[in-house]
Amino acid sequence: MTSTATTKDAGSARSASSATWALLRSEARLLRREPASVVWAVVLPLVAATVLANLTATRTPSADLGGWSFSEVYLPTLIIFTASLLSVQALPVLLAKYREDGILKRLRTTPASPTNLLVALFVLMGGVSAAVALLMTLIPIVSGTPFRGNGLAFGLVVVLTLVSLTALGLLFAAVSPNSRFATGIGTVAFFVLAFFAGMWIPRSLFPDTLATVADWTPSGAASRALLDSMHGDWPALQSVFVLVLYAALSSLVAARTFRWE
Amino acid sequence: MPIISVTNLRKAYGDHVALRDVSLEVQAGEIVGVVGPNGAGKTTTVECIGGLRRPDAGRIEVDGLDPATNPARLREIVGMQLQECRLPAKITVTEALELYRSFYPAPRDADELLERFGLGEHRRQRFGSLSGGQQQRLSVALALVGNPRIAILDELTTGLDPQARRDIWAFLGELRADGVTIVLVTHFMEEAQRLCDRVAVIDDGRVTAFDTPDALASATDGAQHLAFTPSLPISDADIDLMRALPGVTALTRSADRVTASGHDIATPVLMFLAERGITPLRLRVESPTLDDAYLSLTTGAKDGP
Repeated sequence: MTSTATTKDAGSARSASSATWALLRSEARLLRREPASVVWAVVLPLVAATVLANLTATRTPSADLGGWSFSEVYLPTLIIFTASLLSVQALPVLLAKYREDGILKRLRTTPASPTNLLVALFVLMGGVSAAVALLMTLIPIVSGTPFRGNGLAFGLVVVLTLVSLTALGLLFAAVSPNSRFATGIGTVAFFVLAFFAGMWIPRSLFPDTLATVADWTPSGAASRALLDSMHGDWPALQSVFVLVLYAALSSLVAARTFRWE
Repeated sequence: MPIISVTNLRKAYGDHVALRDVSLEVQAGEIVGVVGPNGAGKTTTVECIGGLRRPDAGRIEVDGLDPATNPARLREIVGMQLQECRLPAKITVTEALELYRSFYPAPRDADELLERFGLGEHRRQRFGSLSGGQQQRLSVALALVGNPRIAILDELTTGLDPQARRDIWAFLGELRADGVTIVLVTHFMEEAQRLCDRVAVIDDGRVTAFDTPDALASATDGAQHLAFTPSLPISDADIDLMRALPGVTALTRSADRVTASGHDIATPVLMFLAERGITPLRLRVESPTLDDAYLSLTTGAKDGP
């Protein structure tokens, strides 16, 4: 009995991972066929990073920015830009659409589970964001501005940021009754996150009150932690705490409220 | 030993009671139709059988498994086609079929299914650019790609043209020959009559009848309808005599047409005409069908026009 049970479990575990892999490949192919989201989330930030790293005005360190160049201080913002677009905007809209279209329910009737699809999308969106983040970090180095910070801390913060923002995206997907709502909430969240990440005003120019508020938002905490690690430090405990808190709370609420149909 | 057995199923969504008391048994290899008005509980019933919904009360066994516990084994032996399921617009026919194939331990051949469902020429086409009928056929193909022992098909021919509908019926006939058990939710009585070994009529959350299509059709007091144009004028006296013929419940004459309804009235009426040398021209005789049975077994008929 024990041995048959074990074989069966091993079999379903194998099929679960192969289903996730098949769904990941399928979703990656579908994402490639969505030129708009790829251009906005991938091409645009890469072009911006390349331009900033090669224009004299933006690659030269400036006293106003504490001895850093605009290209450098803008790097965390661009990383968060891509991650926010994919995880709090594209992901919830896609999941709400899949729920609306009955695809999540349809998957429930197969040996694959819609959870496999969630994992596949989590890996896909996280993977694209991570790859773009890596490329954007390498672009200034290739253009002759060496990375001066704590690389390990920087990498860990990028991963934590992606987890936190994707969890937030899953929360939005869970509470959105339909894809129109998901589009709305995702767009608003994206602009708020991009703002606190320093999209329109560089973070170092934030007034004190604004900086305090920003430190308690996931994107503000992420950009502060990324800047800290670029300065060669380990991020402040508060930034890590905020990112972990958003990740934990969002996943918890998302897991409790997510509906397949 | 039934492969699906449903006993005293009850399910409510908030205040709305979808299923009051549904009991059904489906034998292995049978094609069972589930018919009934909108909102009668057809879809809820099959979704409980497929493990998508958990009943409030009652028992379900599918090949010895309880669907409510969502056993992995159930997913491998049951193929479901759902109403209103749309695939991503940019996935191609082959990609969708291969994706769903990869979920199952012993799937059917993708090419065979594509040919069977007339999708061979559309394999590289994206879901969004398929016609409604093609999308529907792909959805049926996906329900069968896992080589299921039980197929639950919810309105599989809705939106199909008559030819495509007949092609799918033919394929379901072949599936039956393979021993696949099929539960078919349908709005088309013709479909139920043609395909199903037995038909369950569900109305207002209850099974009001469950029998072979022929037995259902003849058990109801569905009347025989007769219409003809007499070759010679019929006198008012003869009309009255015909109304008094055994079995005739109604008889009317309008312009040149005479119509009569009742039980087994064809023979007495035709003999009566023959005795008077009258030939019934453009004669039409309609026997009770599953449609009549359906109407008399569901509340829709009472409220309907």
